[in-house]
Amino acid sequence: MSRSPRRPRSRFCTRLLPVAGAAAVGIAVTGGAVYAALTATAFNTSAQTVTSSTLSLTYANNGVGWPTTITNMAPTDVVNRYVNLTNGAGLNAINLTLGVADATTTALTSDATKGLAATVSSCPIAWVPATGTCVGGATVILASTPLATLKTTPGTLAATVAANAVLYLQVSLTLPASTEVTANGTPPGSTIQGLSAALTWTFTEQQRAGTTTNS
Amino acid sequence: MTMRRGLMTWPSALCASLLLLVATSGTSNAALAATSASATQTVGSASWSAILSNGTTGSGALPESYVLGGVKYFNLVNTGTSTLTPARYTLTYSITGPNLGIGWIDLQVCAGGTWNETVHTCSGTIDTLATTGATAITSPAPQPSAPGAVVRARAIMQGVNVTALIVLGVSVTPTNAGGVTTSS
Repeated sequence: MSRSPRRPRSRFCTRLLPVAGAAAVGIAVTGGAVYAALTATAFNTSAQTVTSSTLSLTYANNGVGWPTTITNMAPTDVVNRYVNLTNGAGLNAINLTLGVADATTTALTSDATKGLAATVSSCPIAWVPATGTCVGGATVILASTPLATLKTTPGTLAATVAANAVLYLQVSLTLPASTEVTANGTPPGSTIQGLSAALTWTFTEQQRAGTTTNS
Repeated sequence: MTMRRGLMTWPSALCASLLLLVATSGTSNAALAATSASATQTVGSASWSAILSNGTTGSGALPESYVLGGVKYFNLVNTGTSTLTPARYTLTYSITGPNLGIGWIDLQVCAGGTWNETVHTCSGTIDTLATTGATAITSPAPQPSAPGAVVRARAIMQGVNVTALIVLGVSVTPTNAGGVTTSS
């Protein structure tokens, strides 16, 4: 009997196959051990409800308000406009400020001496626009400030504003006294006369400081 | 190989640090802010202006030179947008005339009446607004109060009637006699 010639084994089979097999067995044994460990969990059966609050600020005209054009202001003129400012029902707020922007900058809003200035007063209840009356006593919360300043640095009206609070405000606009002489129909070069401003007033507030609650 | 790994580790750490910084700064800016912007409020300033002219409108503003022989009539016109009232504005008149000799010239208005420019009489009271060589007087002389209003004035040679060249002028200044409040 002759024996059939034996095929030569590849080097892979003779050397690496046993090693790979052993590794595979090892992985299987190890993996099996992980899946076999005990695990326990606990969780609340009633979901914990978490909501975020809101911060909102809205203004409403009281009387004719800001949309009504003011014309022909002369030095020492004062024009009062009334607005109601409401902090929303969500968060208490801090740092309420009032700033202004002018779409068409002229000396009215760039000249801190001869240009327009604003004063803001607060009333415990709504102002009576027709008479400028505040029943309960008004409080000046922003002293006369040039609009040239308010354009770059909004004025602070209140350090804190409670949620749901309504501020009844009088915003007085004045053209300060000046002695500009118009001679024979010709005003001086740096005149405050015959100018126009398109003002956008912006109230801004921040949320109250973050809190940590334990209970 | 080890060096390459080391070099790759540093950029990774740097990136992580930058991300942390961004995240941290983002946190500090994450506080809520609310704004409420108004509708546009349009504000206009007035102009205060008056001129003396020899026409019926605002044209021909003085000072101009006139050859005066006795009497000449002019218009004092409110060419501004403000109502000129003594409480709010001061009107200052000036009049100069060289080579007058011993004469002088007055700038006058007819208060409460009208001029008869033919016979040079006034149905009301003659008020002198300015005189050559004298300090100009101010309101409350009759003045064109409403924008566009006209008051008829005259310059009249007094004393010796000669022909002279005069220059008339008027200036308007806010009086600032206390604020006028408009509430609405």
